[in-house]
Amino acid sequence: MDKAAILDRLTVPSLNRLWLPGFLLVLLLGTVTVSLSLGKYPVSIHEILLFLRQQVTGWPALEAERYDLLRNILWEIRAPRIAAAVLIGAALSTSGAAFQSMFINPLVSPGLLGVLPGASCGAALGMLLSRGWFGVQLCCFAGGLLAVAIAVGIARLYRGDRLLMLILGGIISGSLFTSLLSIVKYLADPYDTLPAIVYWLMGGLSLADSHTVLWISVPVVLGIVGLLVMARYLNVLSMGDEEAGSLGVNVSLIRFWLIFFATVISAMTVVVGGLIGWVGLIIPHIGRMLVGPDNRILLPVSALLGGLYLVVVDDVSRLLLDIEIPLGIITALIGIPFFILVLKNARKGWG
Amino acid sequence: MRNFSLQAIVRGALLVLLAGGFLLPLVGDAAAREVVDMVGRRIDLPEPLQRVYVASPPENHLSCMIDPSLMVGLNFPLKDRDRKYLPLDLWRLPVIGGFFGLGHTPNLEVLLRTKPQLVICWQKNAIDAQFDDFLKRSGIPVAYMTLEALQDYPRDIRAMGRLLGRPRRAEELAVYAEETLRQILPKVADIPKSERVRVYYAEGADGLSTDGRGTWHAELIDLAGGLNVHEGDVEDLYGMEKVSMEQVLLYRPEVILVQDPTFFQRIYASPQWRRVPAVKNRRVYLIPRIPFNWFDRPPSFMRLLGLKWVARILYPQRFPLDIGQEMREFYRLFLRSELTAEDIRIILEKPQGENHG
Repeated sequence: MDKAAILDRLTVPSLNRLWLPGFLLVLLLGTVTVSLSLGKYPVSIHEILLFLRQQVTGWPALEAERYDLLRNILWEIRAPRIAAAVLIGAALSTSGAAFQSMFINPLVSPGLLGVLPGASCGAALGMLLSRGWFGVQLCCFAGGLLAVAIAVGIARLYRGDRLLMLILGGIISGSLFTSLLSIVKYLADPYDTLPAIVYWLMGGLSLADSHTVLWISVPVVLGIVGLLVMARYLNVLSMGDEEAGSLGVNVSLIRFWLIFFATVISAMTVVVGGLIGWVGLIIPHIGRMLVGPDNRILLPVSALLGGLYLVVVDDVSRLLLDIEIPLGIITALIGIPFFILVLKNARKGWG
Repeated sequence: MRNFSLQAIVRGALLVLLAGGFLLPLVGDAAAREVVDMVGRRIDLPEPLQRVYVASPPENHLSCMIDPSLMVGLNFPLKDRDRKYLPLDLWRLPVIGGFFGLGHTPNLEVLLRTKPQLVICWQKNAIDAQFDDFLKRSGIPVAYMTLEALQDYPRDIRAMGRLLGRPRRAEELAVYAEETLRQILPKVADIPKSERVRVYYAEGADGLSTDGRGTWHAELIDLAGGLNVHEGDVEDLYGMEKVSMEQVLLYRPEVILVQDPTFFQRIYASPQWRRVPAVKNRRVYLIPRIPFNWFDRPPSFMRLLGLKWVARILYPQRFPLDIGQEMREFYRLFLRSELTAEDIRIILEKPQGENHG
């Protein structure tokens, strides 16, 4: 890569590349609005419009009972779920894109450093100890952070290629927490706790109530913004450690913050939705096909695409059958064939 | 003083039994008893039968009630809160494991170490067949015994009693089962479908897993004359179907029976559930689970009491039962445990100071 190309990466993206994020944002808002009208409970578009008008203007258009029902279904059941889908999709995709750039590897997912097994194991342990739902969420988050801390700790033990050591540390830490999870599952009461853990691991948004979603939206949005702000440095990092160092970037500090933000938001997704795989792997690929490898534009595009994707997948999960299909199963079913297709062109659009 | 002498007698009797157990193999299997199991196979059992392992919880729990001294191992560890209500014989038994679905299997070495004279299991899947092979090679007789529909319990309890060589004890329990079924079933048979109380069975941490009408797991709702709001067309041994929140709203259940305590803590405060009629009218009930679940998971003999409890919840006018009194009677007969008022409060998981009812 020549100097001119490097300098080009550090300058502001030109305006004509900004139309896509704008378009995606509009598309996301449209999808959210449509999703709000979709569900098992029959509510007509006309009623939703009346309801929204009443909410905005306060002019009573619906009778009190029907108004309360719509408020319950739209704001308390559907909205938190859709918001959770957007947040989780955006979080997983952004951290996936950031990891792929940081590790200079298109096959990397946000779970690389063991955050997902760690968080799952923490959640399962929380259920085993049964300290209420908040306790489960806390254990889940702490498990995710701990797993990544162990991965980073292992990587620091030895000299050598930092990135390779991190990947190996992640594999070790991830396997460790996967086995710990098996132990917890084995110890769990086969009638009470075990089914709860199993369903949790399939992933789903049925536990996303407005309280939880509001509570996690703050760290998730902050984490995503953190990653977006660091996109410029990420561009430099993706050229390799030596190049980055020669440009005067403190590689290990940048890498620490990137891992920190990505870990926090990935762990948060498990707190709300359980294990939802593949999103963080395939969405950044699509993003890269659309806008290329510049992280300043790739990260926001990935975030929007991820939110869009998970809202649609969740609609399918809610509507397709009479029973609800766990979200993690659908993302895997869609993700795997897509990934096989993408694998062929994996290096295309890669700097 | 009387207590002491009673203990001495029990100890003496145990010693004799133990000595008998050691001597018996020397005598050889001169004393053998032929029984026929549920699938009609003839099995020669050593006489007297003293060491039995039962591989699945519904049958295991019943055997524990028929004669706890016969059991050589448990399916899962006893919880401290449950021990108090279970026979002493069970407290020190090793955990062998068992078949619960989801790939749980017994620990074969622990099983062999306990030297069972008979293994009772049910044959449903391939893993069980492999287990049978293992037992055959180890020379341990296997009897098939499956407890399923509650209406078959009188017959099945007697069959279990014959298998274990305890027909008299089994008869006592079978008579209770008969009386319970006779007390509830005819009284709800005439309720037309439109007047049946609509019931939703909430399982899982989100309350959105359920078992539908006609399934084994939610059988008590059907038997107690309720209308299980979920159709449940999937016939699946393990159960737990996912439904969506909006589906539950459409179902309009008047009563919700809750399996998961953490969900029970949340349901009244949850904005998502607030419009469900059962929540509005505060007719949400946590299923008692001490020492074994009254309703399901495992679907055991406890459901006989569970049937009365559900019937009382659904139709208080038709069944003006005193649940506390029913519990005392049931725990005395089956578990040989005398309940205090405090025990009843704990088992019903009511906060302190609240009465049962």
